[in-house]
Amino acid sequence: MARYLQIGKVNLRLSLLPSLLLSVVLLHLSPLVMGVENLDASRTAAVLEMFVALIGIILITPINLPEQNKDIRDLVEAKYTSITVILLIRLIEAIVSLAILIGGYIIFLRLNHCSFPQLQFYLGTLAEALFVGGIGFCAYSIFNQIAIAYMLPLVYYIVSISPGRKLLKDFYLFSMRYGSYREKFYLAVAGVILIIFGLGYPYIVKRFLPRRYLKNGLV
Amino acid sequence: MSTETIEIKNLNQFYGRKQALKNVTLNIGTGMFGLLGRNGAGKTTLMKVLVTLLPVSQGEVTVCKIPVGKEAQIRKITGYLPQEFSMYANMTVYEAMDYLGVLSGLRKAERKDRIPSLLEKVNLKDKSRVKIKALSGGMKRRLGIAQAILHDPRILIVDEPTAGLDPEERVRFRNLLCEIAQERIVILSTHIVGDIEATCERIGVLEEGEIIYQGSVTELIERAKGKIYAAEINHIELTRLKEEYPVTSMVSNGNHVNVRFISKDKPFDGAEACEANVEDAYIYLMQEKRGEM
Amino acid sequence: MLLELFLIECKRILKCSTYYVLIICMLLFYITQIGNFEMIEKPVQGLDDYGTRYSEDENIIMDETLKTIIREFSANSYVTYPIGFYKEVILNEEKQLKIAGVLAEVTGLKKDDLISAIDVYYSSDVPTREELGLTIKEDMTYEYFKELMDQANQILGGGSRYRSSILQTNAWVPMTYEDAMREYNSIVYNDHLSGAFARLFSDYMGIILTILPVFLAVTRGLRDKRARANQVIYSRAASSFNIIISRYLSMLVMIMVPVLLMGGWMTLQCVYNGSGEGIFVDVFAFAKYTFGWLLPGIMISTSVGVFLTELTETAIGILVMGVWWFASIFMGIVTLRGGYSLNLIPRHNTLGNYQIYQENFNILALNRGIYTLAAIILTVAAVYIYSMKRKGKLIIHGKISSNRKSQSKA
Repeated sequence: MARYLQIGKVNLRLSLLPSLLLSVVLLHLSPLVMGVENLDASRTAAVLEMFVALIGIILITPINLPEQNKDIRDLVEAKYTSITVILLIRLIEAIVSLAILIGGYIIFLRLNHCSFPQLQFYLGTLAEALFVGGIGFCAYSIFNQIAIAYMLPLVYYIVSISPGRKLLKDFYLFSMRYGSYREKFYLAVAGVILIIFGLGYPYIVKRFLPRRYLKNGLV
Repeated sequence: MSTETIEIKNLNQFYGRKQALKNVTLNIGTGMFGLLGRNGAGKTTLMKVLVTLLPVSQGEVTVCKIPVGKEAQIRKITGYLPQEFSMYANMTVYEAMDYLGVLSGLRKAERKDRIPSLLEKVNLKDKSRVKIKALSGGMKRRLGIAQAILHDPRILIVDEPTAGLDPEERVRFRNLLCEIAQERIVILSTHIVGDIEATCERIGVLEEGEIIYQGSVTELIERAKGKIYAAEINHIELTRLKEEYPVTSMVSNGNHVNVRFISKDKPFDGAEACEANVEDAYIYLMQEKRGEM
Repeated sequence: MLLELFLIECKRILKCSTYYVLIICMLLFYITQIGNFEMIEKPVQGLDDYGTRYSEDENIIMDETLKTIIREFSANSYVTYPIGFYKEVILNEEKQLKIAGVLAEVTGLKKDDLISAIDVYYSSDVPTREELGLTIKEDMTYEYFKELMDQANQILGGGSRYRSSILQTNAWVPMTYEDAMREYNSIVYNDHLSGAFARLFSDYMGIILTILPVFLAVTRGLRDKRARANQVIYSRAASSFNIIISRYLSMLVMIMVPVLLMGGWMTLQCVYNGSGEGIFVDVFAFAKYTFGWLLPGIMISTSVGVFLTELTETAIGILVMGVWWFASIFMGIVTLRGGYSLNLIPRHNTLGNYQIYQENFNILALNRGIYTLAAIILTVAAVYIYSMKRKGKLIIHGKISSNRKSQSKA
């Protein structure tokens, strides 16, 4: 257990800190450019869904990044603690940070006299953040390419703005604005599946792909 | 007569406050020149200065009479194999050579002409369609040498070329370098004494940024003459011997150990003076430098 | 050498997974947004509804704007969209009085009379607009009105609907048959059909084409570091200009190719549909808009990626472009149907509306010109940084990269 705590501490500094700082800065800047006072439920939802949830991309996507260098990856893979455990620790840290940051923001909105169902909005925002971050994380595992990992969740976000609900149906990102939470449930489940798939992908590849594809990943 | 020369005068290099090279003065002519020294002695820094990857902090450096400040001209006449040679993993061997050839300003016809023959020279002809990521370490280094001489440079600089090669590959690699060195300057750095012994006529030894020796290999050996002894001793005696004398080699032989060590004069009965080799001479030099001899 | 390097770089892009993901995203966006080509129809007489439009009548614009600002003033609750997100502004007494001053100037009343009139109006039970009797003063010119509204906008901290550039959007009026017919004719005779579609195409594709190229640029920039090919490339004779510019141009061309293909496809549809109706179709409209409108966006996005990746050797370019893009998208919502401004992503989210386009063409040209220039400057700066790195005069990530050997083995 102590070992895992130690790994967690190192990783907090190594991989999470920059994205954590960035998220905090972005959240702090928000009152300058958007209204965060006296909002009704629909407008609060817009702030949470269209802006706050994006920190999911920032926090979850780059979890694999420290191992981008192949030498480091080989080194880490050779160590006793498996890379999956390390990724899992980082993931938990990222998700906990998400939960805290979003929770903090919800309280902040509440203190600014916005009226909205807090628990639902909290969980809904968290679900969306998990989903967009999950897309990034999964894309990174598959392509091993940081640019693609950020591009896919962003494009999903764009498609969600327009054409949006018509096309994405139950996986529409901004449903709380219309008072619907069912989509958030789908997003949460899909987010978890994406993350699990991303974690498991290296094993799937090792097992089922011929060796010659393995060097350096698929790209 | 060729005019190939590298002149380095009072070169000082700094990384921030740390001084990597101290007052280095060297003259290098055609042929193989070996740069010997421990890891971190400043070999790579010196080489990077020569290929214009680092600016001169202080001092004067000219390559074939061209000051290294004129990067564009220097880059045309130098070939460089960095310590960690690597290329885009999903390029084939031929594509990589072609790309680097274009970057060296070779015309298409020249590339078509030179690349196959060079690949043959480094024994990679049948790998020309193989992707870089599928090459072994030795193949990669051979590709590295091929790319470094692709534009027929007058100066070739190779940084630790034999690191990570198996013995057979190492020998082949040295021979290849010797062949190349017939008509140009080849500078190779290494921390493996054997590489120098087999190939270089002239060497320089770097220690903590300073040149502590430059001259021929024979002269270096000459210095250590009469200072190298060999003896057959038992394991208990070995511990004591090690405390008193720098040991250059030892081989276990049943209960006994055959050791070679350095001593100013005959140390004890049973120790016999013997011919110094480059390794002995190098260690002698380092001892001398440290003032322990 | 530039041409040869350029061709090699193009081939490399064809082997790059980021490029294909980018094209798929682009296609997906194209299909879902503008995939269905709906031919315009000539309006018929006698319909109830011909849609709505912004009024061009200055008097109507002034009237409607005045109504809006009086309503917001009396409630002391102003709607603004600083970057497109809703932000309610509530003013303190001093600033409210300033707004009252502006209103007094507009209506020609004294401040106190004005305030009491408004108070009476909003406290009475069955108020009608006519009773309020507040109108624009007689000798008010449109120019002066715009000036006053800009003052009000400033008091509100910007982003309000009183910005002079978007005053028109306060005055929605229903379209008549004549209006609809005028719009139709404008598309047929001014835009030659394809121009109107090309503008809509540019509007949609501009959204995605100002963000996607940065991903390709960052991928390319990081590839050298990742393959550890830097040193070998640095030491070659090729000039830094040739190396960076060949990469840059190859990315622009490879991104432009699919865009031009989509434009070509839409041109074909315009020609096919237009010829049936006897409309002369401008076959070069899509090319003009793609190069004039979309290319500058692609350029700036690519050069931000190239520049920041060379400077930092990280993926930070994605973040910078992402934040910039995010702000631009939401700011652009206000002038969705045209009106432009210097926003990174100009919008024209409607078919036709030629007049707005024509009136604001200078701004649009200035806008695109600025971004083209900025892209060129950034790219030249990237060349400079690259050449400095090659000489070892600029070492990114401190000593670690330059002196890595001694640190790792020591």
